[in-house]
Order: sequence, then structure tokens, then C-alpha cells
Amino acid sequence: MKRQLLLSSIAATTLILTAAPAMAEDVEVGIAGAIKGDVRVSTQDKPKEARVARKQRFFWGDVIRTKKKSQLHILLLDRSTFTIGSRTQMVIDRFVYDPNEGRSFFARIFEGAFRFMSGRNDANSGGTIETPTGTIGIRGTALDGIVGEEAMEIAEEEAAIPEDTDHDEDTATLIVLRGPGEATEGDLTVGEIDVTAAGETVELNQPGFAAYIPREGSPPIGPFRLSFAGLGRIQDQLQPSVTRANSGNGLVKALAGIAVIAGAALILSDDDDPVEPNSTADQPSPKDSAGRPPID
Amino acid sequence: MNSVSCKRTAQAIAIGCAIALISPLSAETFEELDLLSDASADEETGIQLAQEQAARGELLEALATLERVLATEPKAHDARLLQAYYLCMVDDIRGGKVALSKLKKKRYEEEDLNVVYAQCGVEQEG
Repeated sequence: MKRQLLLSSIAATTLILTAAPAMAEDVEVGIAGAIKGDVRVSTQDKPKEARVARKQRFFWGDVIRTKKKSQLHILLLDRSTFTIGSRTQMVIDRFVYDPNEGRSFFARIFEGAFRFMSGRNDANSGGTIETPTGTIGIRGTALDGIVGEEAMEIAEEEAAIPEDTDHDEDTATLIVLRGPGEATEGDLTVGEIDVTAAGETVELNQPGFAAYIPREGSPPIGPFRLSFAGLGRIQDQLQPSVTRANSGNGLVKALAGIAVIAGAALILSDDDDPVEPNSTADQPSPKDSAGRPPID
Repeated sequence: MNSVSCKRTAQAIAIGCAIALISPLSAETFEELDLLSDASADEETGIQLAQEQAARGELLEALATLERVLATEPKAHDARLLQAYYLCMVDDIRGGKVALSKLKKKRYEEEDLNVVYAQCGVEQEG
């Protein structure tokens, strides 16, 4: 902890950036807050994977990987969290935190599903998540992301994604802002995300808005409002054990204004997004000439 | 929604007491993270911790706590309902509704469901 604080000044941050490779194993970033299934960690110096136990410390540069039907919840020092679903691989390359100054980090997601939620001092904190196709700049945010085939399959069902999109099933990246929104309770910073790829940036500033990068070298498509079905599929990837615990019908009949769409996902009505049964209310308005749907 | 007691088992008592040591304003330490992990390894104490965090306005931390609970206790029905409730509190209405849609009504008291429906802007039956 003392070491973390010592390293956390702006000047030190600059030093850290240049010194990271040599110091990586010395800097703790957080712990394994909860584990389901088989989660592994390796380092550059110790490439043989070792099984992760709950409360195990993670360090700069650790390569973290979940196996099939597994899940990991990482608690970072500022109480920000990463949740990663099954078959996900990530690295937290850098994490710097000072309770008085805020937090910054740089992480990479190679494949799989992830959720990041900001912790304390989020107004002064930022972070960057890199995927194979783009980067996500975050502030005071809860976001979900998914990289790989599942991202492609979700995107293919979204009306905002042109049918002739050239996807790469290994690197396709889907990012959705989860909140907090402007109507949030509590003293939370409203979430914002910048999704950048191929020199273009899409800003997500409302919960449920998404951006999709179909392959390396492609600019992000969006923002668009991710469908309930898409949100549900990401949720299933992030909490596979909860998904397996579900059986039979949920609260479908108890919720008003619902319609069942492909994949048995649900559409529920709300004021800003009225839905009629079997309607396409989750689909955006007609696209503009650039193939990008206008918001709402 | 009713608060959950943490007195069922000796372990829960120990963890529950540890929760009280997690001050909202103290400097963060790895030992404190361990306590958070311990508290959310048990359904009851995890829900209690989440409720305390939410009461302090730490809604994202409360949601994170519930995620940890659900990682190990995926059938924790109260945690799942609370998760939907807190999602709607942070204005992730659609996310809250998706979470709600996966629950089974018979597991819950109508009064609790109505609170969550109201928070999420869901019209009630009847």
C-alpha cells in the first residue's frame, strides 16, 4: 500500500510508465475478490499458468485467464472492479492510485467478456482498456465489453450494424455503457466512454448505448442503443453460473409491455423507448449516409 | 426490502463484524479488500454489505458486491433482485429490466417486487 501511494504522484506516474517492465511484478493492483471455476494466472517471467485462489494478489503485467464455465471478480485497490466471464484473457498492465488524486490504469482484453465498474474518487479517475481492435477511454463508469465470436454474433442481430459488415470473429469488439446515467441516485459521476479505432472515436454517454468494432482497422460503428437481447447475452457471458441457475420462465409475465424476440430475450417498454410486441423499437432510425444511425 | 440478518452462523457473525471495520472513508488497503471478499463469499453478509454500501450512496460498489455474491451463489435470489434494483438506481433501467426478466416471481414477496418495479418503471400487473 505504501508503495502504491509513493508511486502515485504525477511525476512518479511518468516514471512508472517508463519503468514498468522491470517493476511489474512488484506492484500489486488488486485481489481475486471472487472466483467461480478455473482461473489461471501467468507472468512474463513465469509463463507456466498457476491456478488462482480467492484473495490472491494480482500484480502489474499478470496474464489472467478464465477457463470454460468460469468467472473472476477482481477487486482493485480503489475498489474499482473487473468482472470477467468464461474463456476470457486479460492483463492489467498498469494501475496507479492515490486516494487524494484518483486512479488511472491501462488494461488489455484479448478475448472474452468483461465488466468494469469504477470505485471511489471516480470523478478524478480515468482508465484505458485496449482490445485487439480499439481502445476504450473511461470515466466514472460501469461498462460491459465482449471480444471475439460472441461479440460478432450479438452484433449481427443488432439493426444498427449493416448487414454487409466485414466481421473478424476473433477480434470483433462490442462495448456498451451501463451507467451511471444522468438520473442516477447517490453521488456518482455520470458515466462516459470514448471508443476509438482506426482514428475515429465514438462517445457513449447514456446507459445502454453501444459501439461495435467489427475488425482491426475498422472504425467503431455507433453509438446505437443495444437491444435487450444483446444486453441479456452479454450478461449471460459475464455471469455464466447465474445463467445456468436460471431455468424455466422468469418474470416475463409479470412485467408489462414485453415482447419476445429471437433468442427468447425480452423487450420491456419504457418511456424513452416505447415497444410494441414484435416491434423494432430497439432498432434505430434509418441510417444516415455514413451508415451510422442517429441516436434515438 | 428487508435487511438480512447476519447472525445465522458463527462464520457469518465474524464476517459481519468485519464489515463494520470497512470504513467508507478510510484509506484503502489490501487487507480491506480481503474483508470485502470475505463478506461477499457468504450470501447473507454479502447482501448486508451491499445494502450498507448502497445506503452510503456507493451504488457501484454495492453492485460489485452482489456480483461477487452471485459468482459463488448463483441462486441467491435476494441478491439477484437487489442487483436489478440497484441497476435501476444508477439509471441503467434497461440493464435492470434484463436482470428482472430472468427472475422467477414465485421466489419473491409481492411487496419487494413492487418496490423494484417502481424503481425500474415497470408497470405492475392488474
